[in-house]
Amino acid sequence: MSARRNEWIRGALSLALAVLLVAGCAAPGTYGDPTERGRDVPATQQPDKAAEPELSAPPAVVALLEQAEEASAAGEHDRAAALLERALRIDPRNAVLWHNLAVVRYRQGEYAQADSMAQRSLQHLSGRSDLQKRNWQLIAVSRELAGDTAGAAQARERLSTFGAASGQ
Amino acid sequence: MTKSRSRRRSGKSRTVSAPRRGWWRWMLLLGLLLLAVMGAYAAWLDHTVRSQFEGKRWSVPATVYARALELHQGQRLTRRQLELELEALGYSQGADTRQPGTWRASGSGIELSSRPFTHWDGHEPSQRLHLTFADGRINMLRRLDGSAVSLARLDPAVIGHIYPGHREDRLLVRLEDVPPTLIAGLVVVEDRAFFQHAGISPSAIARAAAANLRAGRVVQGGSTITQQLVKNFYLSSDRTFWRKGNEAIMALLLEARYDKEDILETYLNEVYLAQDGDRAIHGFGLASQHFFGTELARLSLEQQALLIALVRGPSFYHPRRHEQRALARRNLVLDLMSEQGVISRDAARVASSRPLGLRPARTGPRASYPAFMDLVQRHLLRDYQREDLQTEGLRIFTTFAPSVQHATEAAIQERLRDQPVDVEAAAVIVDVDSGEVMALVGGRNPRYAGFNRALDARRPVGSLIKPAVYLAALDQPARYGLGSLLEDVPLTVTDERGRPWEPRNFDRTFRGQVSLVDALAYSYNIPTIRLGQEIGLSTVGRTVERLGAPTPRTLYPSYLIGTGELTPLQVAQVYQTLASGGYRSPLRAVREVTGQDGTPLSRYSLAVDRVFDPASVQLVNLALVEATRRGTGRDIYRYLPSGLTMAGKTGTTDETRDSWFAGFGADRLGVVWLGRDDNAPTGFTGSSGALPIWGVAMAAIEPAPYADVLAPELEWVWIDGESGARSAEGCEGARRLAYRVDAAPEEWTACGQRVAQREEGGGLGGWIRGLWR
Repeated sequence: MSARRNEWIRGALSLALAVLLVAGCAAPGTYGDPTERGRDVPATQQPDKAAEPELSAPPAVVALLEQAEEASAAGEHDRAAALLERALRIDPRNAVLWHNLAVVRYRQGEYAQADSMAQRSLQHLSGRSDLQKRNWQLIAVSRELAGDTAGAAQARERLSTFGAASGQ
Repeated sequence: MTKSRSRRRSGKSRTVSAPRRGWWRWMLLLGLLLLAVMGAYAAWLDHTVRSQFEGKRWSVPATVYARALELHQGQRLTRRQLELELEALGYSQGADTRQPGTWRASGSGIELSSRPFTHWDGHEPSQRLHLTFADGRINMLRRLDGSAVSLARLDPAVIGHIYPGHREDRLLVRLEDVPPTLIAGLVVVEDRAFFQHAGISPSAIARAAAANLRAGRVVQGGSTITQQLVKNFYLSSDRTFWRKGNEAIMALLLEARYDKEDILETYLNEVYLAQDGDRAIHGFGLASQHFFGTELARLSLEQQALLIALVRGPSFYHPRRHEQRALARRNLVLDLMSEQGVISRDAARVASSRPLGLRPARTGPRASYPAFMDLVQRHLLRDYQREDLQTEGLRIFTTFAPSVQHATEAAIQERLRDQPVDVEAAAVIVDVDSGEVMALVGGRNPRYAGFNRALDARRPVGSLIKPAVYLAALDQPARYGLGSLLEDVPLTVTDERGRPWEPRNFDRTFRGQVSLVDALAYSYNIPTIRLGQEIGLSTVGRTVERLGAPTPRTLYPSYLIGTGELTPLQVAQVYQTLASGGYRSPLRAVREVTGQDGTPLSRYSLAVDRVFDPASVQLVNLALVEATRRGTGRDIYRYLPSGLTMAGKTGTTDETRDSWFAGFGADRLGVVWLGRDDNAPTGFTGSSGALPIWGVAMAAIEPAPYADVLAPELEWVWIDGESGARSAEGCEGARRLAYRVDAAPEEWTACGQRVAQREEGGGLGGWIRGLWR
C-alpha cells in the first residue's frame, strides 16, 4: 500500500470519524438521533429505522459519555479513554461505549485496539444498524492503516452489505 | 617533593636557631595544621549541608490506592459490601454525617458524607449521600437534600505505601500554602528570634540555661529552628558534645547559604509530628491530613495551634491519647500567639474554648494486602525504578476492590480453619471485561508478606487446561460441535519417556461414547486426550498461548489433561479470555500513576485483543455452564443460589497434590488453588477443596450471572445424545445444544425428521437450511 494512499485514507477518515464520535455521544442514552445520523449518511441510504436498536444507558453512563465527548473534542484522548473506561465498568455490554473507545484508540493511532474494540461493539449489537456499519468502517480503515490489506478487504465486504454509502 | 623540601628546611633551621624559636615554629605548624583540618571539616560539613539541602531533601514513599468506588442507581452492590468499603476507607460510623468521612445507618439504607478527593481525571467534592438497597443493588441514590445524583465517586482507600528502608511519610507543602498565623505562631513558640539570628541564638541559649538552672533540670531548649532542622536533617539523635558542636556549625553554614524562607519551608516539611502504626508522619502537610483530614490551608486557628503544640513532643502531647495535656499545650500556644500580637486576645479566647477538632479516628487497624502490593510493584517495575517508587511521592491508583478482597480472604479463612497449617491457598478475582485484578490472596494468612503463591506458585493445572483443548476443537465447526461423539474406550499413548501410558478417567470407568459437551462437563480424561490428539498437540498449545498462558517447549499427550504448570494468575488470564468471549485483556493491577501534586504520569489503559471467534468461545463456555449444572462443578450450588448461572471448571492433579477451581459469571472471574508448598498430597479434589472456597467467596461477591444469550452466529438445536444426530424437541434422548448456524449435524434421527416435517407447514424449521446446504 502506497504512503500517499495511506495519507488519503487518514485524512478522509479522521474527518468522518470526528463526526462519528460526536454523534455517538450527542444524544443522551441513545446512539445518535436521525438528524445526527443524516449528517454523514445520505438520507436515501439510511438503514431501516425500525432495525435501529434502542440503546438506552443509565444516567451515570450518559454523564460519563458526555464528559468523554468534551475531552475528545479538546484533543484529550487519554482523558476521554479514561472516562469511557469508567463508563464501561458500569455498563460493559454497551455497544456505543465500545465503539467510542474504538474511535479514541483510532485517533491515538492504535489501530489494532480500534479494530478489536469495534468488533467488541459489534458483538453487543444485533440486527442491522447504523452503528454496525460504522464499526465496520472503523475496522476496515484501522486494518488498512495497520497494513492488513486482506483483513481490510474482508471488512469492506461486510460493509458493502450495508449499501453503497460504505464510507470509502 | 614539598614534604621533603620543608623537612630539609626545618632541619636546617634546627641547626642555626635557638630551641625557643624552634618551639614557636612547631606551635605555628600545629596551629596551621589544626586550621587546615578544621577548614576541611567545615568544608565537609558545608558539602553535607548543601548536598542534602539542594538535592532530594526527602524520600516520599508512593501511596497506593484502591479503586475509587463509584455509586450509581442500579449498581450491583449490597449494603454489606458498601459497609466493608467504608471500613477500608476508614470512614467512621456516627450519629450524624456532618463531617466528611462519616456514615450512619438510615433505615434500611446508608447515609454518608464522602471526603473530597482529586482523582486522576478530576476533582470530586464532598457530598452527603443517602442510599437504599434492594435485590443486591443500589435502588436509590440521592443527596441528603433530596437532589438526584447520577454518579458519585468516593475517595479511594489507601491500601499501602511503597517505603524505602525507613518508614517516613510526608505530604510536601510550599511556604505560600501555609497559613501566615501558623508560621507566626511557630516562630513565637519555637524560635522568637528566627528572622534575626544567624543560625544560633546566644540569648536563647542563655535564657534556656537560666531556666534550666532554676528548675534544676532541662525544661527549655535553646535550639533555634535552624538548629532543630539541622538536628533532624543531618544528625543522629545522640546528645553528645560533638553533636552539639556540629549542630551549631551546620546551623551557621545553613543560614549563610540559604535564606530564611527556604529554611522555614524545609523545617515545616521535615519536623516529626506523629506516628501512625509503623509509619512516621513528618511535616505539617501530612499531619494536617492525619489529624484533621483536610489540607493545611483550611485549618482553623485552634487546629493550627495544636500542630504547633505537637512540635515539642509528638507522643507526650498526643491529642488522642493525652487529650487534656494536648488541650492545655494548645491553649498555651494560643496565649503566646496573642501575647506576641500574632492574633487578637479575643481570637485566642474563642479558639481556646473550642474542642481539638480532630477527625474521627479510624475504626480498626488498617489492613495490609502484601500479595496485591507485590503485584502492583511488579507491574510498576516494568516502567519505574524501584527508588522512584520509594522516594518520589507517587500516587498509584490500582484496581483493588476492598470488599471483594475481604470476601476472598474470609472464604479462605473459613474453609481452611480446620485444616493442617501447611495446607496453603491462593486466589485471584478479576473483572471479566477489563482484566482488572480486584483481589489477590497469596497464602492462607493474607497479612503475611512471604511467598506469593498467586504469582509464584507454578503448579500443574490438571483439568483446568481442558477448555483449551475443547476450544481448539470447537473452533473447527465443520468437524466438531457440542453434540459430537467422542470415544471413551481404553487408550494407550506414549509418555514423555517413550513408555506406553494408559490414561484413565477419574472414576476409572469407560463409557464407550460420550458427547463432546459431556466429556468437558464431566471432565473425562480419555475422550479429551483422543480429541487433543485428533486436533494435534501443537494446535492445543497454540490455543493456550492465544488464551494468554505460556506452554512447555515440548508437549506430550499428558499435557492435554493438565501436566503443564501455571501460576494462579496465569490461569486467571486464560479464563479471562474465555469469560470475555475470546477478547483477551492483559490482567492489570494499576490504572494510573500521578506525581504527588496530581500530575498524570502514566496510565495503563484497557487493552483488548480479539484472539478467538466469540462464537467458538461461547460454545466452550456453555459446556462449562453444563459443568456447574450437572458436571464436576455442580457443588457450587451448595453456596450459590440455584438460579445464578455460572461457568466453571475443577482441576485435580495426581494424588490430590493440587486442587483448583476456576469459574465466572458475566462480570467476575475467580481462580482458587489449594495445595502444599512441598507438593505433598492434600486429600482434596478440585471440587472438595478449591470449589467451596470459590463458592463461599462468590456468594459474598454476588456476581452477575453468566449471560447465555447466544451470539448471532449461534442457534439452539436439538441433538440426540446417543447418536449425535439431529433430533427435535420432545423426541427421546434429545437435548438442546448451541450450534453454529449452518453447522448442525446433517444426519437426523427418525423422530427428529418426523417432528421437523410436521412443523414445516407452520413455522420454518431450522432443518430447511440443513436440507438446502
